[in-house]
Amino acid sequence: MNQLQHIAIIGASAAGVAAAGAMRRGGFDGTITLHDGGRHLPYERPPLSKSAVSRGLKEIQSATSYAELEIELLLGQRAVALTTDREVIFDSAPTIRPDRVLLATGVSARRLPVSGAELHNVLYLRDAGDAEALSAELHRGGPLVLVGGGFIGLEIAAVARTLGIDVTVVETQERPLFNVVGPEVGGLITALHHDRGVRIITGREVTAMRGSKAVEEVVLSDGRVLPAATVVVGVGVVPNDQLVRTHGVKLSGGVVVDAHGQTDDPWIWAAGDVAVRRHRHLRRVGRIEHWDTAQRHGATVGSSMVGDLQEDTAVPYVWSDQYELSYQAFGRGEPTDQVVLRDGAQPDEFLAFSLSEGRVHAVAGINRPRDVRAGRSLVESGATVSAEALRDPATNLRRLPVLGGATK
Amino acid sequence: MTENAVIEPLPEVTGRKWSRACTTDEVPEDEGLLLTTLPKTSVFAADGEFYCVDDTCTHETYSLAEGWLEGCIVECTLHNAKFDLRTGEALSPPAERAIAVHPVIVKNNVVYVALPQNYLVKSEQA
Repeated sequence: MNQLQHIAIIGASAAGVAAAGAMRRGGFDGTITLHDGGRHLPYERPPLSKSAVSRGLKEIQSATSYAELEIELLLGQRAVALTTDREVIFDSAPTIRPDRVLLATGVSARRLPVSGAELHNVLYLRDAGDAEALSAELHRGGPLVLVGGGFIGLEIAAVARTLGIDVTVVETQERPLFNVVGPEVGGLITALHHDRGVRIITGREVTAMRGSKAVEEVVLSDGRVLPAATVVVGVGVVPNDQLVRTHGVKLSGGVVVDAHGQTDDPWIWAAGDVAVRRHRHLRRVGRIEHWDTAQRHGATVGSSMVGDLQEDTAVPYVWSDQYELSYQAFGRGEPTDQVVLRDGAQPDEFLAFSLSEGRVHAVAGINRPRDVRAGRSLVESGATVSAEALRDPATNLRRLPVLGGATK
Repeated sequence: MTENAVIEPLPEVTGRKWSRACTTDEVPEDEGLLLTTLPKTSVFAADGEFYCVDDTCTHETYSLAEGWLEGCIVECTLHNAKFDLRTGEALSPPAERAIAVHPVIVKNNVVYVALPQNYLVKSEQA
């Protein structure tokens, strides 16, 4: 790898920071530059939607660790193009010619294409600036309308209810989280929010927002009009693949990469949310938009870029804080899976497994962290297990009898 | 936890004080035993040895005694950080900093731990 002298990472995200560290720890002694359009030291995004109290940003790594690892952290440098001459062009910094470039640009909030969406107080939540704006609005009071009943929307709902704000969630599906966790778990989490006074309107779309300057009303597809002082839109994300859209690199809902993070252009690699890939424990090729996975993927791609080929096979993990509770899940279910709920499931304490042909592909729970962790081992092993045993609260998941051989 | 209940003399460790933590059979198989100290500490049994570490994950406030034990590695069940019980080293993100590790001696099926002088040890017999 003698010819590698300079690797540039675009995006000081969870994936980008992890990649930089892995390159250095992997013995690469060339130049590592880490570029980001933002001005903050790289920070953790998950807490942004989980608290209305500004506790300051939580740094991914200490400020001194970059210098210690000789990683050049270049903030305020937004990359605007990758050229076919292997140049990276920035909006306000000199062009560079790295030997390899890593896209760790993540995703952005999908915009809602309705009239009035540009009004003041119609917010999205993705970065530190968004979180600051939302926190300021919530402290002014409600009503708050959340467009989209995904995890981010529901986390904000929980935070707002804790502040005593009137909250309505508008979800186009028949249940919040329907596409993400399926109807059973979605139903439990919906009940959790109902119990805490969140109004949930399902099967309806937002068709317009109205107001003179700031938003005042949200109009639904059935003609209903909801008063609103603040609207937060959480209707999914789009990949930040603008840099390579005209480059010829294969795209398919993100930047397509191989097991090690390389695109079909050997100069360009991608890691984290923006990457589209096959994963050993998932049944669908696609993006994995989890913070934990972004870190782990970033680390393996970083190692691979400096010659130590690695693959991220860690079962994707997501957690979400809802009120004082923590939802946790490993793996990903498919709509055709058999969902097994452990007997006695309640909105504030449950355990759910997604099975296909007797194998556990996903586990999710609230207030059962060790059982959820045990479920991860079942996903990893790929062993055939009994749905009856999973359903029985007396079963020790760590000692679960295996019915059939592992396939993985 | 009991201070000064040691009958047999234990080797002096500079800046630390020995306390009786528990009996060996009080330590669960797959997780840790939280001790009544401040800051919190916990005892683990792993691969036939006993270990004592600071109980709180260095990433966010969560008990490692409630973690997932595999060999000498304890994994925080909140965000998957991993620590080596022998050295305290953080082995997996999101943790960056090590946890403190404390000397342990087992005598007659009793686990003794040597905690820094400034740790508070609450006696269960109080």
